[in-house]
Amino acid sequence: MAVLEVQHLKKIYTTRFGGNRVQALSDVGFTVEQGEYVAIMGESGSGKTTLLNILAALDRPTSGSVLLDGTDLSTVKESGLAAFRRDNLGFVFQDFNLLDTFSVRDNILLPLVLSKVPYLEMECRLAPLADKLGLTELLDKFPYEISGGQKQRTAAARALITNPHILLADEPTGALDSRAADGLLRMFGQINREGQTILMVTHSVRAASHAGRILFIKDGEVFHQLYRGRKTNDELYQNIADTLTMITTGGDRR
Amino acid sequence: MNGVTNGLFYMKLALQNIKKNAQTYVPYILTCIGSVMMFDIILTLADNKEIAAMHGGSDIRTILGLGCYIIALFTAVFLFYTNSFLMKRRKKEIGLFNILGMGKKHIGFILFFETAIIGAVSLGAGITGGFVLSKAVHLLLLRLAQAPVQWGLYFSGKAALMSVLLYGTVFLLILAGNLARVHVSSPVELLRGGQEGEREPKTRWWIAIIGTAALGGGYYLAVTTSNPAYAISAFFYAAILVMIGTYCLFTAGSIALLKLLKKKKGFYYRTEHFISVSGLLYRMKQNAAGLAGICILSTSVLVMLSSTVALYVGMDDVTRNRYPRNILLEAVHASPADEAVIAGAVQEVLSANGLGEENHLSYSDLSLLAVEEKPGVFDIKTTYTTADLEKIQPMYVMTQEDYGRVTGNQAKLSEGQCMVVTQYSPYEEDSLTVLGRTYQAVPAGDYGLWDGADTFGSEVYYLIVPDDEEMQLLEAGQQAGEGGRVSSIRYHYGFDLDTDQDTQIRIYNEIMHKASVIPEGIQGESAAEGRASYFSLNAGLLFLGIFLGTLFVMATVLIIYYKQVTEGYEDKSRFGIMQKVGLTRAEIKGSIHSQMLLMFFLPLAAAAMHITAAFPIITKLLAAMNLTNVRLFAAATAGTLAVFAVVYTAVYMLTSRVYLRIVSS
Repeated sequence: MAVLEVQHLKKIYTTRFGGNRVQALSDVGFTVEQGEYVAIMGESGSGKTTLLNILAALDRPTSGSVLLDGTDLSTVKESGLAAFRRDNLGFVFQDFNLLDTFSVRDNILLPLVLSKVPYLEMECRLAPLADKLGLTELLDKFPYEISGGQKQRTAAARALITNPHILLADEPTGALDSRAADGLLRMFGQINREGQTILMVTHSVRAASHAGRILFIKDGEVFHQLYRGRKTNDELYQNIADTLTMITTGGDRR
Repeated sequence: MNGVTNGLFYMKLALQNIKKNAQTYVPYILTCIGSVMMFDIILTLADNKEIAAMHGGSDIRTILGLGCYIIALFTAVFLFYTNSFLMKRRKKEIGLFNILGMGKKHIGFILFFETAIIGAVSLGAGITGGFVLSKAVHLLLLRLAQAPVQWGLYFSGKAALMSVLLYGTVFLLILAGNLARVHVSSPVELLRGGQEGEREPKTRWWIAIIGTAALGGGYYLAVTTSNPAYAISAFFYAAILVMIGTYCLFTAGSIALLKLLKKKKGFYYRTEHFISVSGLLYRMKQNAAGLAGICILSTSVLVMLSSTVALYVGMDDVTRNRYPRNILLEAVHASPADEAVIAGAVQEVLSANGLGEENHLSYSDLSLLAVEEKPGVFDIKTTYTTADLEKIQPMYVMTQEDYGRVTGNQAKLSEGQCMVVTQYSPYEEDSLTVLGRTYQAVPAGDYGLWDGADTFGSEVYYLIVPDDEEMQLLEAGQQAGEGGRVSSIRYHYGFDLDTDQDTQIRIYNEIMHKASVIPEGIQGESAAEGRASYFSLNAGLLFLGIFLGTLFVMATVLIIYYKQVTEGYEDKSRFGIMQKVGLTRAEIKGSIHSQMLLMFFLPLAAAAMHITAAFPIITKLLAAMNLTNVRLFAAATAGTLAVFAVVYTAVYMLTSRVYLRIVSS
């Protein structure tokens, strides 16, 4: 079953006085099945961020549609969008976006509090999740007291605690050193094997090599797809690197 | 580079820095100018010979002199505070200079030139402005005192010199402090400057407890002090306790409370409390001291304005309380013949002027400052110890004949009896012994005092004795004591006149002249004459109240402004994150708005609470200054509070624009 269906997505930015028109996405279409782990790759300026913003309902497309579990995002009312995002989507950002006035525990619980979940249920959901992400010891610490990797795991816990239909990750390893990045990617792999659908936007080959399928975006279109099949991470890494070289040197569509 | 161009270079850099930081420096410079100006103005007025020469001018000068000290002390402390705020914001910039290769010595030069520029501008503009505005302020003072307008423009060299000396020293000390600060810190420390770790504030229970105790103590003093004689010192202690309490409770108490709320999981983990409680926790950590300052300043403004306004508006009440009748005459040991001379003189002068007595009042009394040795036993002393002060009981001895004539109440006392008429609580003992003479105390029942015999909150005994003989025995009794004669029987003659103030003074003088043939001499008071001096005293106080009120409001505005700027920069990043995490813009704005409102209106609410608690003791203080119209004071307090709240809200709304501009940029 498709969790996410993206059809003929087009986004044109117009400057304020209607002067310049910039086409960020020209025709993007793909589907993400339940339990998939998809990475979207592309150079800067390829429309990655625009795509993610539209998927996250932070931005509206010029034309085309996004269906999440069969619900067309464009039918969700503006006033209900924040709640819709909270209940259906989980986000992990490059720069963590933790609130420095909250402890790790409170940062993770934030979405539940906003959704008015009773406190006892919060505790029940938090304990196993914190255990899985290795955060149990850190729950009462504050963001300034923990490392980058720990911050990103906190952010991931915050995204997962609502049991989202899909986890959207925007360059999640961008601000981490290689060891912390590997740890986070292993963790993403694990939660994906447990059934969590993940969509990750990245330009790190290492990060993408952990995914089950890789979409390459160029000039606002899906240019190429790569399936893992039975390849190991290292083989997939090589494949991705070759594909990127091909794209940048201007090869034709296969 | 030679020395001169070097100097010019640093001068330029200093100027640039001030321009770059205009958002925070312009208000600072304005405050400096304002401080110099106010000090210069008040010193100019205190030094003004024309003011000294007007009626009651010496009172006004004393009040103005007091104002000088308050302004000097307050502005100096306030400028230090503001400067430390500015330097905190600039740490990063100074660190950058240091890393770009400027030695601490060079940074010192820049700081020196900055201070020199700010100092020169402040002193120049302040003294010029002070000279120009002092005339307007002078006219305001004359208007308040209802004195004739004095037109001359007056420049006080002494005031200008004192301003330069005082604020020059302040600026030098500020510079020295800044240099020391730069000297002890490393560039990395300076660079990190503004964003030191956002630690969660700790609960400091003992400070919260001290604060609660101090505030409780202050309130207790303010509410329970009943003796006007102690009111002044009690007010002083209460004010200090309340200041300590306010500071401790704002800093530690607020955090203790918020942390308690945080511990209540069922309360804390709710949408409407979650963000507000943790947000306020950090806001209070950073702003508590400033908010406590705002609260104390606001309270002072309210106290000063409400009481001085009440005194000024209640001038008629004050005069009436001090002078129960328009004209009051007094003679010691007046014989029936003397009494006839006085009555004759009054009749003669009044009929010559075609006027008549109104509210006639005449009686003889003996005043005793008795000490209650044990219940019901009183004695007088020549010297009083501190222990005696608490047992002092003022008494007026009167015959039942005079009391009956003045009040219309016939006491019907027989030999060996007395009646104690009190204003507040009835006399409870069965007998009363004074100066060795013991009387059986007849209950006063419903008998009270007459119009004009108000005792202003402190209990005074009116001891009614059967006859003249008894009163003379008491007078003799005290004269036989070791101290010799302490007081004598005095005859009082008073009445009101329905005519203007000047005529009253003329008539009073004529009567005094005619009645001066009495062997023991005559004394007298005219309310009209007294009124003028009360007027200049109360006008001086009101003037000082307005003047200091303006200064304190200026300081409050500046603190609020700076708080809004800091909060704006802090909230900017939080705002973005919350939006990404899934709050709507409206939710975030609502939450932040309610936090800001709570934070900025907490001082106002606390100030309102303080002034309510202070109300009873200020009433006593005002009673000591002959203002007993509690209603008038209540109205003045409510009015001042209302006006202040409006001004405060306006300031908040204006400054919150700065906040919004920063957050949404």
